[in-house]
Amino acid sequence: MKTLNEIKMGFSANRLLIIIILFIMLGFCLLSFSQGRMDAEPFVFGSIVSALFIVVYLLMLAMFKEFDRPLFLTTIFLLGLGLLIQFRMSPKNAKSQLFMLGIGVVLMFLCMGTVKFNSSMRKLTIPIIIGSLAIMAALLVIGKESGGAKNWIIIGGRSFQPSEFVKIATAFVLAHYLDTRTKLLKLIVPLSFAIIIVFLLVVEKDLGAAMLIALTCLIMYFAATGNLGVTLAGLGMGALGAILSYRFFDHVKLRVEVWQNPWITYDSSGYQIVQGLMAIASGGLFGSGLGLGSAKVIPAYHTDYIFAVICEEFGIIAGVLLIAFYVVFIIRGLIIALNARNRFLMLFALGCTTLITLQSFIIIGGVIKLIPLTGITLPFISFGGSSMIASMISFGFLQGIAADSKKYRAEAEGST
Amino acid sequence: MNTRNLIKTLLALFLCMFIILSSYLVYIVGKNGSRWFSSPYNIRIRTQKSNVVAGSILDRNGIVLAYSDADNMRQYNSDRSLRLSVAHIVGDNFGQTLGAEALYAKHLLGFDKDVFEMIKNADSSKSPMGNDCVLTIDAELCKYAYNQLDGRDGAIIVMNYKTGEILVSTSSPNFDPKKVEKYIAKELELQDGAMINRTTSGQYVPGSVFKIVTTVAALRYIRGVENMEFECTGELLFDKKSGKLLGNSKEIDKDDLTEEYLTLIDFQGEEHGTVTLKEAFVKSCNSTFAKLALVIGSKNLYKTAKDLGIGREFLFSDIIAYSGSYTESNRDYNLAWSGVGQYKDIVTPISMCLLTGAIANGGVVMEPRLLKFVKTHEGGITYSATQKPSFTALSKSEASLLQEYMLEAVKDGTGRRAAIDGYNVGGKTGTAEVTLNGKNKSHAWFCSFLDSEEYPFSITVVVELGGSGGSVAAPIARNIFKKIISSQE
Repeated sequence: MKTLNEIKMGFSANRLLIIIILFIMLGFCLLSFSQGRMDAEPFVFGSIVSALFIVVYLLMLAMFKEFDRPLFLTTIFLLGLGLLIQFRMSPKNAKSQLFMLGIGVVLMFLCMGTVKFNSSMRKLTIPIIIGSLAIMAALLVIGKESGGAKNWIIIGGRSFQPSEFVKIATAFVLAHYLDTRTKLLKLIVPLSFAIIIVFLLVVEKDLGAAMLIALTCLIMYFAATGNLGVTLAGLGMGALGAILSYRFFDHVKLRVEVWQNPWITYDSSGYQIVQGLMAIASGGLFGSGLGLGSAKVIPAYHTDYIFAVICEEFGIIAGVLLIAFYVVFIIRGLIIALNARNRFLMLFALGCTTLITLQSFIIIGGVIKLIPLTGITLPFISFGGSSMIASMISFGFLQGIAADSKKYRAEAEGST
Repeated sequence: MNTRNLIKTLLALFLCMFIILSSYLVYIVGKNGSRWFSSPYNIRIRTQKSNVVAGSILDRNGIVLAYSDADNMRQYNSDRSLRLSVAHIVGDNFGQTLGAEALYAKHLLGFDKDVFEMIKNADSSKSPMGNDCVLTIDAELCKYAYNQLDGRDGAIIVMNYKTGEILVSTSSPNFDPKKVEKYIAKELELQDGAMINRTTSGQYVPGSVFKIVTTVAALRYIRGVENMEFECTGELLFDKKSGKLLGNSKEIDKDDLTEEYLTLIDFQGEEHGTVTLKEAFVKSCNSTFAKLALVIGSKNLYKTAKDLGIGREFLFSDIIAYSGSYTESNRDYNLAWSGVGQYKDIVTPISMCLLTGAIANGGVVMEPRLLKFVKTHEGGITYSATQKPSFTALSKSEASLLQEYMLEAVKDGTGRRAAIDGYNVGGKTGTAEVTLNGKNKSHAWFCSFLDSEEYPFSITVVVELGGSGGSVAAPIARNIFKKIISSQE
């Protein structure tokens, strides 16, 4: 019975992958013809993307038979949609993004492979802590400012955003310690590590990442210990910190004021939010159509504001569907956590999923003015090499944990 | 609880978060989408203008107010004074004002076309046509009302209080929609604030028309106030330092006062003697309403003003309107003045017109309508306005009592000059004191309604620096009502 089920599942995964690729290819074909004449470039690019997806799928089947299909398909859809919309906005960006995705795919396979050796991997905890702290502290000195936040580092002509990787490192460190320890006193090392990281991020004005890491740590702590009191106290401390920074930092105050009414400061600080809202409103229910929007007027349209671009060209309905795709990702991610082979992997899977969850919530919520806007990327879709690679690493670990637990279970069943 | 169960709890939490996220997206775009879209900052509208022949804007009787000519240039009605009288309502083609041109761009530029129409249009070689917007206003009446202002600054708005349709809306100073390009290039001078539609956004001191609010608050917070009597000596005295009420000019001898004092006097120092609430309203007695405000209290007055629309966020789908504001004060002197519509009280003509209409309509404010219907070039209707209540301002009994007071004010009170033979007219005058270049001047106000099944109209007239409401604004309201009656006969 079970095998039959699996065969059926594999079959429908093939079919769904084909549908996703058809959707993406249709989009690229549309771009090929959008200028009134045939332009081969989008079509060629789309074909490369599709080929990459198929190759990755076949490799996954060959190397990790038990990987999680729904999670894979959801991610492929998000990646495909991201590359499509990036190509429509700027082919140059899309090419660079595809290159980064290539690196991301390699790292994803590596991460999937390392899950099997998780017990030896955990010996790296101390170096990871030291490395993360060192790089975040180094940013204070050598960091380059961009968009108000001092969170970039330039190595060999390419810029990186270390916070993207540090957040996964934090999830890893917390999972390692929370695996065996639950008493607050015994968790001083990981918690002070997290607090220092968050503090450094706040100083570097990378509020989005600070909020993301702080909340992820709290959620992981809560899940591991079930200690609601400490969790709420942590939340309260975070809220207090937020209120204090509202009082004392002008840039925080400005963000809240802009959030309350972006229209009165349209010419200056409210410009981005207003442009985003107008883009979403202009798309209406079904959107203006791919290539027919004018979302390029929004600052950071290809990174933080990509959700508004998608809403304008594909409509509110696509916006809601996109949110639904993230929901599928979250559900699968947490199911993987629940089925994980050991407690460390369970907590780490929870951490990786929580990062993606909160990240997409924070940025979509900011763009639609549900919460104050903090600059952060939309996972798998926004333009940005570090973000893309980091998302693929999270994805890789999740897939690795999924494959590992299924394999382990199958072996256990086989031996009994 | 073990970690497994906690993860399940977190899953539920995450799901809730994302359900809120997507519901909020749908909700907020549904609520504000058309407003955001028609923002003058939206560059998509400008882009679309070069691709589409924009539709015409017409008044309720079919008079063309704006249209696109053969060269796709925007043209406006050739009658200059008609054009000026509806300038703010129609708006301009350069995104400078929030008139129909901007607010209904979705229709005028054909953004509301469905997929099939778009495919059909894509096939033809002609430029696609936008849709025509038919407004609820009567342009000839707007012109008449505008001429009544006789060159003075001010605003006049007439609404049907049963349907919410705006029949007349005119505001001065104004601009010529034909010359907006020249204003932008600074080739032509424009009076300060001429682009602002004063009927919907003009922030005025209300003066005595605010006594409508104070009366409702008195009915709500002072039991049996209808039957009380008040003593008016024409002047109230307040301690300058504390702002506390000392008494009226009969109770206190000014010469006995050792401390400095402040006064609150009635219009032209009139003494009304012993009056009931109704008489105080009809005679517009400042002393009585100042004392009432002190008893009602700042918080309750604020709350009542908000219930009646002043300070409420107006989110109407057809127009962008500001409602005004009431500022609380714990200083008696300020509170007393706020009860008679001075201090920091701010209202807009439309907020007063909606309130007056609600009194005539049993307490219900109808959502104001400016767009009657939208039709395609071929004549098919794509949108048609529906009348719907916006909010309930007063209870039925409060409304009928206020009706009685306002009818009496026109029959035998400050609003006498608004009376029309054979019709029941209710109204409240206002003479709002403002200081201009160190001199005391006053805006003339009149809020009025026709108590008639056939002509269910409410009007608000403001003549800036016009003098007294009873002698300046009330006759204008009468003339306009008469014109409406005669033009529909």
